[in-house]
Amino acid sequence: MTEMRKEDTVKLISAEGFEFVINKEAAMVSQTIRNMLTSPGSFAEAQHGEVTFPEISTTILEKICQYFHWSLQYASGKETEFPIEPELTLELMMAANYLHT
Amino acid sequence: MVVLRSRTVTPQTLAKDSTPCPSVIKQSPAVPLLVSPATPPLSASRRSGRLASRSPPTDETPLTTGTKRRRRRSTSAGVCSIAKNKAVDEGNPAADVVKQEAEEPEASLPVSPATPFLSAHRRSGRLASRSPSIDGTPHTAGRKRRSASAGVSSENEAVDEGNPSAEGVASEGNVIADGVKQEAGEETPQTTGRKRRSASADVGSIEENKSAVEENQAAERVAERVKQEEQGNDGKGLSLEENRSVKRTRRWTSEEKGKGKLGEVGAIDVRNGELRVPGTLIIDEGRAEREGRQNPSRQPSTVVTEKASREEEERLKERTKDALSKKTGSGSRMDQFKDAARKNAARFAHFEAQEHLEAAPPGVEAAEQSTEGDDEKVEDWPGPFSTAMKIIRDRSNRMNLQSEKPTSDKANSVAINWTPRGDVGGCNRSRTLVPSLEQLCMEGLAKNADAITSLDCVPDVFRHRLSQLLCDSRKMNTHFLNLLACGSPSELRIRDCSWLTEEEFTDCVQGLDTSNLTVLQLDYSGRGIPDYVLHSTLAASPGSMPVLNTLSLNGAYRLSDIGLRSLVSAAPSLRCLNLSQCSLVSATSISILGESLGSRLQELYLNDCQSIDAMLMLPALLKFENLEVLSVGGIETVSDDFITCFVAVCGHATKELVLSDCVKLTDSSLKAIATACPRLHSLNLSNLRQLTDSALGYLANGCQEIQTLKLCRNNFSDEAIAAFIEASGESLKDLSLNNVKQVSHNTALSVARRANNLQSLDLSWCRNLADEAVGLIVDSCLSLKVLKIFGCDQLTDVLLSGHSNPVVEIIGMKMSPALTNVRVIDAQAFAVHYSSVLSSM
Repeated sequence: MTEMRKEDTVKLISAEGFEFVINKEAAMVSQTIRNMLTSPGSFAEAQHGEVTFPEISTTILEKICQYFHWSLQYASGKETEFPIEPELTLELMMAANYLHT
Repeated sequence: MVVLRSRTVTPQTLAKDSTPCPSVIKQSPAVPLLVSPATPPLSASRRSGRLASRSPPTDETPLTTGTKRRRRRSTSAGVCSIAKNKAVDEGNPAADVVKQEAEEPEASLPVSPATPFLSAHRRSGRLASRSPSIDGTPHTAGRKRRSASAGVSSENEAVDEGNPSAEGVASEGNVIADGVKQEAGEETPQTTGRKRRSASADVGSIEENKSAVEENQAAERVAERVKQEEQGNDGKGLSLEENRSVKRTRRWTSEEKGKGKLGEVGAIDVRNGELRVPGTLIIDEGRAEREGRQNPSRQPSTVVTEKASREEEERLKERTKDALSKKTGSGSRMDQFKDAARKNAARFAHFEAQEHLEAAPPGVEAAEQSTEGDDEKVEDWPGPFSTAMKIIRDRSNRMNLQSEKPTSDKANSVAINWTPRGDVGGCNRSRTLVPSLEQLCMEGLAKNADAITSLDCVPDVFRHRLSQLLCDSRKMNTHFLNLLACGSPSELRIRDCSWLTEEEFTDCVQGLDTSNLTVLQLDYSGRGIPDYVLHSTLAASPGSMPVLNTLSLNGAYRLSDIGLRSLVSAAPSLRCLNLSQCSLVSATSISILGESLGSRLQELYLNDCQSIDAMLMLPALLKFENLEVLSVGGIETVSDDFITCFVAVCGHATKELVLSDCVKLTDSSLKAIATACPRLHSLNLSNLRQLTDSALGYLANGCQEIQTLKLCRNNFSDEAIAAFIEASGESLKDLSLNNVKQVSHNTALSVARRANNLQSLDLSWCRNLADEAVGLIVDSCLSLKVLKIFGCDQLTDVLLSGHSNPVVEIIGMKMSPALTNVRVIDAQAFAVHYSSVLSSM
């Protein structure tokens, strides 16, 4: 894996405190995160590059990060299936709605 | 003759008789009494699906309950036929109660049939005792008394034949599941039946009957007249429906169970589209009568009755010029069979829309001519529309002069400058094609819906989307329905309940806690929701859904006026009601709604309710002072007069009007709408072929806030539409020009220039638009999200790949499967579309 510079990454923190460090471009798939990071005001998130999601659990947040990357892959032409475990689906859907993704 | 037992009803007998007894019908002079809407106890009793026995009446009261029951039983006479006689016990204080109860809004017309409907009571072998009303009570002509069985007061409701408002009243009496047909014609059978009944009970009453004959006949005549008007073009079809409805009321339960047959033989004689129940047969009485007739031995007293009633019938028939003099059951079965065949033929007849147009009554044509004569062309009036028209015409003229070509080719008459710039939009567009995580999850859930164990904590929005997805993929079942009904849901939406059976529905809804329910949508639930099921579940008690503000029962074809009444009493704060395609709902229901909901109702959808006659429901409609949405698409009886009257009273609040397929409408209604509805936001004029460019002119000048305009197959010219958009295009968000053949480049230019807020545009089947025109539109309307171009073969890839709008979804070309990923603007997001729900609380 190539070295990721600080400016290129965003940290997403789940309810349990797990931190997911992902590519900024991937995180921008979510409209909500994009707005947080790019809006002209001075959000704390934008400054520190960290976003906390106190209502999203770790497993769900992990799945969401996987979706971000899958989405970039899909957009660049490689169209595959995105598997979702049934037991996650309900929560995942609500989180996805919140993240506008 | 059905009457089972005749007896003289006196206060003493009333006192003694504590059990339901055969109803004795006493003919009394009609009293102009108003009947109040049926009260909930009625519905409760009807719930059982059979005529409930009356509760033992007290001596005093002519039993409102009894009367109410009877009221319910009586067939839906439709407009006026419902003559319910209020049992009035003269000298009985209860009579006052009864009288007060029966408050008929308008009792102007002479009352129709005097005889009270013998409701199922008779059927069940119980006769209500009659209250010897007559003495002392002032009766106006036409008010008939219905004798109540001993101890049970019969309710006599004044029937206003031909009085549209009477529908409401009548409907109460005509609860019997058949609320559909409000033909005045039904009045006749009822009248006859009633008269018969009344005659049967008391010897003395025979005389009364005779005296009431005149009233009956007058009522009948009125009823006939109204029926004639109603029937207009659709004679046979209507009669058939009447027949069906009559039949329905008679065989209430079996019909409800879907086993009803076509055209009851012997039940009703329909001749030339007029419903004539031979003699005694009357909707709900009919059953009893038939039974009675078949078992004459059972009722010895009926002999006298039959004689007397026969006399009356004869007289009636003469007066009504009814050539059919045979009595059912006794007369020629062959004729009845023939009639039944005749009736049923109409059911299979196919009426061309053109026939309706051509057969328009002369009044309409005269009106049209007069309006045309009166008005100058709208374009001549000062205003933005006329200015725009002038400019457009000048422009095309100039073009023609310059090019020195004949204007045969419209597309060339207007120059459009648009060059495709394909590079910009390309990469952006692919982005929208990535399926969103939400969508993926939805699909996953829909696939595994049976594995879901609980929907707690899932917000309503998701429930709705899931429910919609499941319905669309035909995977909706009771399991998910129970999930949705868990807890105390605030919204329950199922947009396809065609799979739902009665038992499933009952099981599910019986456990449903409706105290928090604000939105209930059970569309296409005809199979599972007949009246009696409603009575045992949703409408079990009045006010059982106290905060329900939106109710959608689209396609509930077994829901009748009775069921609706009980529903409305269970949901007193209803603000939005969708009864589209409920074929049994008649103008009576609208009266019920008007009385109970009045100014609270804000949205009313009645698309394709074939049993509703527009003019008959008009008086009730005028009570909805705050009605924001009225949707009467598909109701062919909607006429210019109807629209003009309606908007004159309620136009100030109107925000949305759906008038699609109301083919009788002409420019004059548009003129009325434009004058009276300044706040109109949405207008649907699909398939109104008689409209001309003037209509658009009126609209442009009058309705400045139009956001949604749906045109389809209209005959507007390109210039007129262009001028309209120039004048009022700023506010447009959703425009449909589907199949408006003449749309061409003028329109395209106007749209591109003026419609900056346009989000959805439908240009399907507009063959005169070239790539340049549509490209210009797409590139100029930056808010555009959806563009539909079905059937536009003339558009090519130049447009698709050449436009530079990053957001727009173009659907309809090359059968592209883009519909799966189209994000349609969710118009159904809110329960009540135009007002905040909270504002009323």
